[in-house]
Amino acid sequence: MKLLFTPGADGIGTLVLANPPRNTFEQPRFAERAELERILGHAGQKALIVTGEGRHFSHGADPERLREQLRDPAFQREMDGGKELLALIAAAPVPTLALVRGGCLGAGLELALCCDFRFAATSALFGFPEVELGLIPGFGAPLFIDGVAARRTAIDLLLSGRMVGAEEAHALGIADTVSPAATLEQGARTFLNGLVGKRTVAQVRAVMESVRNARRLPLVEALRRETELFLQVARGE
Amino acid sequence: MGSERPARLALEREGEIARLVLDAPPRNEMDHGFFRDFAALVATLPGLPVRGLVVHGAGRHFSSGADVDALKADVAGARQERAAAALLEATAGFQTLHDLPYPTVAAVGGCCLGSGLELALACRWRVAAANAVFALPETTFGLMPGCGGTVRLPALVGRGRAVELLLSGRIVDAAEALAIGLVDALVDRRELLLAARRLLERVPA
Repeated sequence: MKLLFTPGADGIGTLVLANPPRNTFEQPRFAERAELERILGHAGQKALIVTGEGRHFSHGADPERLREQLRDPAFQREMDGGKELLALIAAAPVPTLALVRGGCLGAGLELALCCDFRFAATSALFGFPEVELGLIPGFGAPLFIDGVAARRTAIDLLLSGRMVGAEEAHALGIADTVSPAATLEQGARTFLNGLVGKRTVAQVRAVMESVRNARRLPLVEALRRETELFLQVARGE
Repeated sequence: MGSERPARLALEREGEIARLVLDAPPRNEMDHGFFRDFAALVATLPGLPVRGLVVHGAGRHFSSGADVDALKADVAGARQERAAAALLEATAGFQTLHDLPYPTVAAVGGCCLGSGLELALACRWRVAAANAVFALPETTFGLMPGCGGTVRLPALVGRGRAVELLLSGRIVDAAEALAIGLVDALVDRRELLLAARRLLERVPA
């Protein structure tokens, strides 16, 4: 899938998933790792908006193509590679916000769940339709939904395959806000600017590294690293 | 530095429940002497034969946290090694509190800010009076939390909300704190300590 990246003068960059009309993932390894790393770590960047080109966020994998790909014995490696890309987004050095219009399904929803925030347009539709095709979500959904929605919500969505609209997604904790499509992006920019506008790049990255460490490091190690980051920021290093 | 000033911490025993009082009113502010005293006191707690521990502030507030200007000057200035050591001691002290073999509850009235909130986050539960206000305002002073706030907050309120609170530094009132899971119960201000104690007494021994 093509990734269109625009750095922001205010430090808020935009990454557009560009495979319209539905921004489907043609293969699990949907981007070059180095390209994605460059986008996430862009110099001076303090936050990143992720969105889809056109009416939809992303409908995830193309089921027809996926059936063919599944015949390939090496396909698991491809899926592992795709998951690594999502893990990179989940570990982004800056806060990430998925701006969701239209369909946000399957792998598309898994990607949105990797982000720190999800702002939904009233048109947004969330779900894991994989079970309807006799499959299960294969891109880390159970992991990425943890801490975003309650476990009962995760089980409900993963097993029923039902779609939820923006308002229900908000009630379930999946969408942080719901707004008309016309004001969605401005609302997200205002929100992110309120978080990072007055902070230095070093502050933002130190806070985000420490928040991410809370999940990936043993507690005592994460705590020690936090103090180191604090001292670096305080000393202006 | 801790020995040059009157004790700013008190440990009281009432039957099977202990109380750790942050005793530097009006705001129970924390400086690195406080951090050192705290770490020393909390090191004596694991062996205490009690069913639980209440942590609270003397007077109206829980704690306003560290004096940010002093802290900033310390960590960047000539005494930076000492300040860094004190900060590590504080973090270790909060972790000792977190690891105590009996339950702990922070009883929060008034301000619970910065390292004050980080201390409350190291307790198993938090009960709050309606006048309680919470924030990790460090980023608004050019800093970041340094005693566990960025690590402990996400587990309680979720990653997105934690990022929002950490980077904005905004104040959360008691009702919102309850709604987002930052505190476990809101209680009448006059019964704050009683409610905290009752909570601990309800835990099976």
